[in-house]
Amino acid sequence: MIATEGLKYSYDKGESFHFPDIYCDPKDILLLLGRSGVGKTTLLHLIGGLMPVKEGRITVNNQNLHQMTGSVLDRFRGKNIGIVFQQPHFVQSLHALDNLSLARSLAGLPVNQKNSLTILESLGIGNKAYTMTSRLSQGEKQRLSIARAMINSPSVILADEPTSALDDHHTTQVIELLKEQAAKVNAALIVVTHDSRLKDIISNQIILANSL
Amino acid sequence: MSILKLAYKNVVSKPLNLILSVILFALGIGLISFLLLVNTQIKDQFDANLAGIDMVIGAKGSPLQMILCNMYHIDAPTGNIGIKPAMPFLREGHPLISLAVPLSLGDNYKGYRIVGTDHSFLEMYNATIAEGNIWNDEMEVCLGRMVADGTGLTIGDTFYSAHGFMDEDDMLHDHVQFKVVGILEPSGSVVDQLILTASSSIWLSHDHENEMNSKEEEDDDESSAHEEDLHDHDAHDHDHLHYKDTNQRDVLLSYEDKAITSILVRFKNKTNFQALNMPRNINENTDLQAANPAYEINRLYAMMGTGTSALRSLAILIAIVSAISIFIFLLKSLQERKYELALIRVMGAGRFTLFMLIVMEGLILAAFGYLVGIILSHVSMEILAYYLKADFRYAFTGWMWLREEWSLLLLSLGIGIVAALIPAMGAYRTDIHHTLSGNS
Repeated sequence: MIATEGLKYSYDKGESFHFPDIYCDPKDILLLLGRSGVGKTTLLHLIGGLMPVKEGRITVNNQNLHQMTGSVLDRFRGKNIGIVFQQPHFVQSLHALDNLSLARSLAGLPVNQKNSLTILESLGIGNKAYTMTSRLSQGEKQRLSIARAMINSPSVILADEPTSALDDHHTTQVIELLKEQAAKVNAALIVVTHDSRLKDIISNQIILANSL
Repeated sequence: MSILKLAYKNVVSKPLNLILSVILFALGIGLISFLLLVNTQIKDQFDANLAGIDMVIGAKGSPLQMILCNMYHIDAPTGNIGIKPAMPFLREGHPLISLAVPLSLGDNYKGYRIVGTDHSFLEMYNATIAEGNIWNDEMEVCLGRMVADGTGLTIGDTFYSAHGFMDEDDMLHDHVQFKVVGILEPSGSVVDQLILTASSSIWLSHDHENEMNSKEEEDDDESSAHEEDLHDHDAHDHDHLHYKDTNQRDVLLSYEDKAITSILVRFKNKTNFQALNMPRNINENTDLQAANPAYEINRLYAMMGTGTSALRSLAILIAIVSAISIFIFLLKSLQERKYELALIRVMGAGRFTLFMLIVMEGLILAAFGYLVGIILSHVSMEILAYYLKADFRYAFTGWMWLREEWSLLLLSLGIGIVAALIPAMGAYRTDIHHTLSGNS
């Protein structure tokens, strides 16, 4: 479960955003749609706990994200929020499976390789477990980044433009995959995108617009 | 997946940079460790062989050469001294001297020096017999442990000596045989590499040669000093006490006209004013030369010190360069991994975790460098030891561990941490939002 209330953010440069309130239950899927420049990334980073909340409230799993700082926030983020980035990045020196193990230990959770392998298999890349991430194809990388986002069974999975580079067929596939994986771990799924094709796939949607 | 393992994986995932940094680091550390090994072992060897000798008396020449020859057996003698002028020091009952050991050098067997002396030599060096007996007659010898091991000679074996100090076949004294009667306990001192016998054995082996030579050179009307020795020897034969079952010192002193190489002296009281002045008195008032071993060896250290300190400066320079190379290695990889570091923070790592990650990478590089450097220095030392052993018969080794090498480990890790500090601060400051949104 994730909920925001009166979330605002203003940059030092003067840019400021006022975001609509968001609410998403476990296993639900919410689409945040908006053109570039409406603060999509800012919102994603705020609810992902990647930057401090200046104004407003964010509650994840009944815990107040906006009151957390420092290592408490770091640890909370690692445990409760999974993020699928637009560009899948990994720790280059580790193979796929170790990237998952790293995500678990950085969140302070015990490493369970068997479970990690099961997840990789459910995403169809079980045979790539010991492959260095630089050798994976683009599609495999995206699947691995989904695996990493859900490895800690987070409360919320955030997906940043997961489909912008994909054709229609793969777009549907990836959204289905995300839905399926989020449901598996009882997570709320928030997809942030400018890809209007997703309008027809995800019914629960909030349109972001310039607040000025 | 601990941070340490991640740091290790990061470091080894860039093998070329790794090798460069490690080699540079290893050169610096290896050179320092090698210098430590060489210096320590040379000092140990010199110190082990001081054996409480306070003064060496020999022929005039270089005092350092005299010390090196008579105490360390690595140089040629400065010359010989007659028994007659040496008599006051050798005679028992000297007011200042507690022990005086006569040495006669000049021959070797397979590169091991044969030392003509008497039983006081064993007392001076605290040497004891391990097998067999002490020599009690002319041409009987006792072997140091290294000699026994190196030549394979055992009790009852006989051999011919060779003239000089090098193992050369054409210099054989092939007329008089030495006979092994005893083998000494290993002592860790120079005694291990010596063949001990009576002073008169040396004269005997040389005399017989002279005898042969003189027969061969009958036409030669000029008689050498050696021949005179020989004739004197024959003429005086009846005067001399028989070696066996007699006080050896008395036997030695009865050969007034013979020569020895040197006398090793231990004073009754090292701090006695007269004893301290004795070397100078000898040098000024006699044809003999006296030298203080500790003084000469310190002079030698001072001379070696110049070279050592130049090498040490070079090693420190290399260490600094290697610290810079670790610094650059980390800084470069930090720039390449910006996004990756932000990602690690997204996954739950705090700022301090990133800081520690980079510091550990520095530590791992330094530890690798240290390890390779230490292996390099010990293997080099072992190779050097092989050549030193062949040339000087001294036992050096690469397979020893110095306490200073632990300090060197700490120093290495310190360098690793210092070199990592600035890159680690950079990692600490990673701003997730800016990095991930591509604004930085």
